[in-house]
Amino acid sequence: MKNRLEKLRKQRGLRQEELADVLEVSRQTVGSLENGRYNPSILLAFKIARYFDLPIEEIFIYEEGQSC
Amino acid sequence: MLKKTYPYVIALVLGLIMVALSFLFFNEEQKVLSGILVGVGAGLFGMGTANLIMKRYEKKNPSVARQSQIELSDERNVMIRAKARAASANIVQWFIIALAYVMIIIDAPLWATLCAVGVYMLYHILSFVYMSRYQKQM
Repeated sequence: MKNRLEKLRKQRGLRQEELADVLEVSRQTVGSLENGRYNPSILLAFKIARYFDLPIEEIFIYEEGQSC
Repeated sequence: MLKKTYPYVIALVLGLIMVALSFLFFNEEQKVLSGILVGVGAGLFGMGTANLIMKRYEKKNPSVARQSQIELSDERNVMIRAKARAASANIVQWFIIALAYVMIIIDAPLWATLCAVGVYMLYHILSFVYMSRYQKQM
């Protein structure tokens, strides 16, 4: 699943470490999310959406035919 | 982050007691028991000491403690750990059944072969138990 996490983070002038600290996840998790290697749980997705004050679908882009 | 201190204190004290007790059995007839007491006691003592030092360090450095708690409960790390353990258990089961066959081939005692088969069966029984448990939970 694609996402706009890196772009949103950079817009806010945050480092991966800082975003990880706010979300209470490891820096590696933020890196993996940004690369699209890891899809977050629904709870983490909500946490991210709340932090950026955006709906989930504006951060995570679901495309038809993607497997779980 | 390590939670409570008392389990480590208990491990440390128990370790010391076991090592001390081993000297009571330090003779030719009971050297196996003495060896077990020294081995297990030293292990418990080492584990208790290491964890208490870590706990003390975390108390002095709350930021380190918070970071280690985050690393431990991070959902990606949790998933990686669970997947790695499941994958390694899956591989080990084949080694266990191979070991059982080797024991049959080398004509090992029956109890040894049955032990290997028992462990293999235990793996499958536990897999089944956890599968049905998680199917009810999720």
